[in-house]
Amino acid sequence: MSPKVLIVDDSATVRQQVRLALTQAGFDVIEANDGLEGLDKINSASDIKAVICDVNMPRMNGLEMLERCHTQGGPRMPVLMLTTEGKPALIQKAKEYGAKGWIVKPFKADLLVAAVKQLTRAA
Amino acid sequence: MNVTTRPEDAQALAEALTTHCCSELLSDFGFEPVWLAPEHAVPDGVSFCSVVGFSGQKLRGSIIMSSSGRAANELSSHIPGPIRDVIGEIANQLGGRLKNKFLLYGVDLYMTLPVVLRGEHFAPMPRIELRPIGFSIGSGSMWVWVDTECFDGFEMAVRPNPAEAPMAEGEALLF
Repeated sequence: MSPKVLIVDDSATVRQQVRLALTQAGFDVIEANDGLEGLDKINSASDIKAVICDVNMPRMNGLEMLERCHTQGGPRMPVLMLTTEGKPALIQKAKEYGAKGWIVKPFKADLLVAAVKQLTRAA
Repeated sequence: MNVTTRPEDAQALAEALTTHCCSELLSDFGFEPVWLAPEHAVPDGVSFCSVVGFSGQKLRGSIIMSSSGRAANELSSHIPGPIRDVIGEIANQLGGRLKNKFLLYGVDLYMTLPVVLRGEHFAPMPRIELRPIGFSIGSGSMWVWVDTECFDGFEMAVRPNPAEAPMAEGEALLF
């Protein structure tokens, strides 16, 4: 059974790009449009092996989603932030909330796949 | 550190950085943009326009990106997703790059989510005269305007400070 990864991003373009990269590498991909939907999927699906999450999204942004996970005892699976943001203070905040990595868009498919493989192996 | 408080310096820097960011971004997506002169700034036929706003302490503005139908189709053939999302995502990533570049000058900006419009012939109605940044994509054209507005107390470094450098586009970091 292919390991399942959740992509949380309000851009259908980015979700499709991530899906393409990860399915070609043997992962199964599910999607969420924003942090609220992402949180719901994280809490309801027990077989998600990793989460890839944007920062700037409507309704609930990625850092807010991460903070909610953190207050609930921390995300059960590794969370990798995928965003246009590159500010060190935001990266540090994500790390404090339990994120395991950060990629600045646009992403290189091979780097994304390598990061997800490493995180799912370590989890 | 030398600083400037002049609004025209902020506008000039925004235009220079946006030009650079457009070139970088399109290259990252596999395009080789050919620059167009501003006097050809009238896209014909259907246009797609995306607007991203930004604001920080004492500085705010917008990036307006207009793409002809042919350019939009060209982008959509290289980048997966519906045209609406492709145009929005390009503007979003352009805004993100500009934000990261402004950090080097001590200016911290927040970006809005992109708005995407479709119509015929889009051009901004700016407060000041804006110089469009134009380039051809395939057989189509794209135009980008960046409009800044400064308020009392605004200041910006005149030279980039490498100590303020954010993570670069495409970089990955595992903790």
